[in-house]
Amino acid sequence: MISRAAAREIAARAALALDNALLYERERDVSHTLQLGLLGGALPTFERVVVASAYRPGSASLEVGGDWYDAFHLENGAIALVVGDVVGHGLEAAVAMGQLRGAVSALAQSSSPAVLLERLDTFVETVPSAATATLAYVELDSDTGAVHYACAGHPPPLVVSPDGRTRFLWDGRSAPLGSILGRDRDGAEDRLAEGETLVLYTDGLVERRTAGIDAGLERLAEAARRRPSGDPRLADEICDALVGAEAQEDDVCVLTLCRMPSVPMFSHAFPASPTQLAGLREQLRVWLEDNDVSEDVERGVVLAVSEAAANAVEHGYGCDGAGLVTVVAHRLDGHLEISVRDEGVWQEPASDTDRGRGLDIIRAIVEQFSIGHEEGATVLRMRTAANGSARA
Amino acid sequence: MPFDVVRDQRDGLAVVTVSGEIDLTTSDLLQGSIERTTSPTVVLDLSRVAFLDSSGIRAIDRSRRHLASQGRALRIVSPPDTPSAWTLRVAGFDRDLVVESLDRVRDANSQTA
Repeated sequence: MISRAAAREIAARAALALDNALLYERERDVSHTLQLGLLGGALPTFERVVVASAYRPGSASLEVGGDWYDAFHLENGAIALVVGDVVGHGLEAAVAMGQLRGAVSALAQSSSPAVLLERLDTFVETVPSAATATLAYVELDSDTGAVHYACAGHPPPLVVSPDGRTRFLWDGRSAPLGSILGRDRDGAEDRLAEGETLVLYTDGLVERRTAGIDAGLERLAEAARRRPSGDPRLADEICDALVGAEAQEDDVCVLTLCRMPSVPMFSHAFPASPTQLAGLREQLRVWLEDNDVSEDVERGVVLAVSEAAANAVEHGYGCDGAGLVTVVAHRLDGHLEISVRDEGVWQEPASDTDRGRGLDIIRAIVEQFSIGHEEGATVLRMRTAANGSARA
Repeated sequence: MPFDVVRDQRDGLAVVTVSGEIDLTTSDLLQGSIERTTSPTVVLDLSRVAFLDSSGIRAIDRSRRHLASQGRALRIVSPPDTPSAWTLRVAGFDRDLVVESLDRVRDANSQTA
């Protein structure tokens, strides 16, 4: 039996807890709604690139509100991409995110990436909850592929090549916004080749309590090469692969941009069976003819690619009919660049074997030829002139 | 053009005529067709072959050695500028074993006969 006073006390505490819970729920809902409102507008359309985004709200407590992405035109014709993360969560973070997002798009028009960060340092002095925000900012000239970028306390942008190579842009790094360490802002340059895709993301994608950030970056690189170049589903695919199964605590944003080739490239993936080789050759012939490649070059390239693909089917996968062989070809500056990729178990060729003969044929046809082992895959690369008579 | 092998006997020669593409899926069939002949001289006519790769060359090479072990000879017909001639050249195949037309094999055969 409890006393009347004690009952009253319990009731009061319960009411307070309930109030707090409601307030908490409401604030999470409001900050989430605000964030979605800010991110929800469709991105502008851009010529010669494919841009896509994905966003997954965090599930834990008030961990919602601080991540954003944006893409916009610059007056000089370049395309600006930004992904950022306001530290802290809830309504305050969502509001700060909105202010910072607006500031970036306004200040970027007249600043280089490094100068933009300097001006944002000044801006966050007036918006304290935006201090220590991190962001990656990239400008791309879609005609030349020239990239200028800077990262303030943010994980490095990723570049994925059509043949599955990946690299992180580790330069142009400095401290988070508003940090006293961040006053010496630095930018860096790179180049996005035709068909290459740039991936920006927030740290929730690659950070796990149970594993280091390096493991996260590795998982990201692995997931980013699963889609063919230019596929707008890549951003969603990356989110699903890295956070799909887990109820992640933090927000996650992914923004992808693919620089489309001026001449459509050839991309063909097939299961490792010899019966697939005829179809590969037929499709490659059509693509080569569309690209005005001389008859001699066509004959040579079809033979070289067929040899390389047969090699992957037979010796990479043992004709298992399951593993995937990917052939990508593009025409660039009067040359054809071709890669044949498999993820099978590579056996070193002995030159006197039948297989050595296939590789000798490739060497006799193309100007440059190499075999590389990249992250569990074997990639055979060839480069040869798109016109003129064959070398052989 | 689908892959096809026709064997027939002309002027005392076994002629194996191939059409279509020779790759991993068809090279064993080709080798079997050549080795099942019985004449002292076997002619492999590649004039109508649309594609030939290293597995085809491997099959031709093995058949040639198989026939040689029985004291028989293999002559390969591959007219200039056809896909088969192109591959044979790129692969550095012994030119002495290749002739430009079936008539030349017949001529050579009747001279030695």
